[in-house]
Amino acid sequence: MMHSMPTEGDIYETLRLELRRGSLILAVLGHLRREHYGYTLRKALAEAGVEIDEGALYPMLRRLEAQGLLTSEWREEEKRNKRFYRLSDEGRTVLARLAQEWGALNASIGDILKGEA
Amino acid sequence: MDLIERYLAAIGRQLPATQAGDILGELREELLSRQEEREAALGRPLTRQDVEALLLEFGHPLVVAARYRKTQQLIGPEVFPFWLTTIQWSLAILAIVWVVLTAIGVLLGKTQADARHAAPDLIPTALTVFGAITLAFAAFERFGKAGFLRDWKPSRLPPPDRATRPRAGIVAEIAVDVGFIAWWQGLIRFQDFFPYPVHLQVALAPVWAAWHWPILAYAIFGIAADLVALARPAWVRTNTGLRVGRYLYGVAILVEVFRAGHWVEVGSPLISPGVLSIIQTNFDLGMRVGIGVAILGMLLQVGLDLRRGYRQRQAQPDVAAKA
Repeated sequence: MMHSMPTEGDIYETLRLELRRGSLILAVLGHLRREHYGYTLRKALAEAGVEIDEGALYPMLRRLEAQGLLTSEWREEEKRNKRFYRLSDEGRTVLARLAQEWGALNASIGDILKGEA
Repeated sequence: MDLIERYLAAIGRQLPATQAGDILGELREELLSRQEEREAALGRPLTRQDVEALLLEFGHPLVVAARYRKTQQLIGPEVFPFWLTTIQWSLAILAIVWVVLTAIGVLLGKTQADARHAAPDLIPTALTVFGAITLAFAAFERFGKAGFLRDWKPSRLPPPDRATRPRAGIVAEIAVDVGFIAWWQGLIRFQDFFPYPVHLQVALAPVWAAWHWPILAYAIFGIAADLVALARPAWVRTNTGLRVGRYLYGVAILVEVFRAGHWVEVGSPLISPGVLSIIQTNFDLGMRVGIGVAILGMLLQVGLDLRRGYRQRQAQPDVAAKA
């Protein structure tokens, strides 16, 4: 059986997705400092340049809520029931620590890339 | 709308009842918001084809529902290397046992159908082994009991010395011993394809029955020693001791068996006593040579093992006592 070699574009796309995957939680937690329901959260993330598939977003929201980082409530808006999410107190603490880690990592990688350039 | 509800119902059937309402409510809201967004962009209500395209984009109901499951994989990435190695070893042992049994059948000129009586069916047995191992590892993973797999010590790794016994050789030896025990205990019968005419009966002499249990113990001890060698290759002194002990025990048994001077009994109502006597002599001569060669082979193996153990100890001190 012949296996076609992945092209440079394929490899780049795989690595790009891997790179972004880890940062999605940070982006979601960051956006939920303000209240959102799923659809508006996804739109807001997309406008900020962070595309996320709804198949990944909704299970992630449930998981984060189960971990106590988010709170949610069902409310009626525009004649439809919507589930609104918001960062919990514990979520704020975790977000602050993750943001610090992100900043440190970003600075380190920035230095490495600058040195290699 | 009907398509969206059918789609949501299909997802709902895959979800736990306690969570289904919540999850479906959220997905319904997402789909309706998306529908509205498209209708606004197109300036008209969506047709049935448009809704179908929207749902196709959203994903297969099974895939969408699966993302909400706690368990996303049967064997996770941490357990996978252990699962794969166990599968490889087990299937290798099975394949060797099967090849040996089948080869004996073919060499003795019997049909494939006859060989099947002696060798287990390879594919069903392999599938059973594969399934059993996979289920066991999946259970470890599922119930969070895979921690023992991470319990390892660098000192238990095999020495880098080339004299270490190759794993494939150990696995092959286990396979041969398993086949031997199966035959010795009568679970498989090579006499079914013995190449002599049916009217010639060949049986083991009583000396073998007298040594039945010590010989069985020899084979079981051999498997146990090989399993220790596989699991703890760094126990150089222990492994050498087990192997040397095994072969010396084997030599002791064979020397006693050798002294019997008569190992096979042939009989036939259709062959004259004179011819039968010649056949008997030839069989016993063959056995005498065979047992003699086996004794010499075991003694040679003892020498080789002692030499290997000595070389390994020179390369790395034994860690068995510390491990």
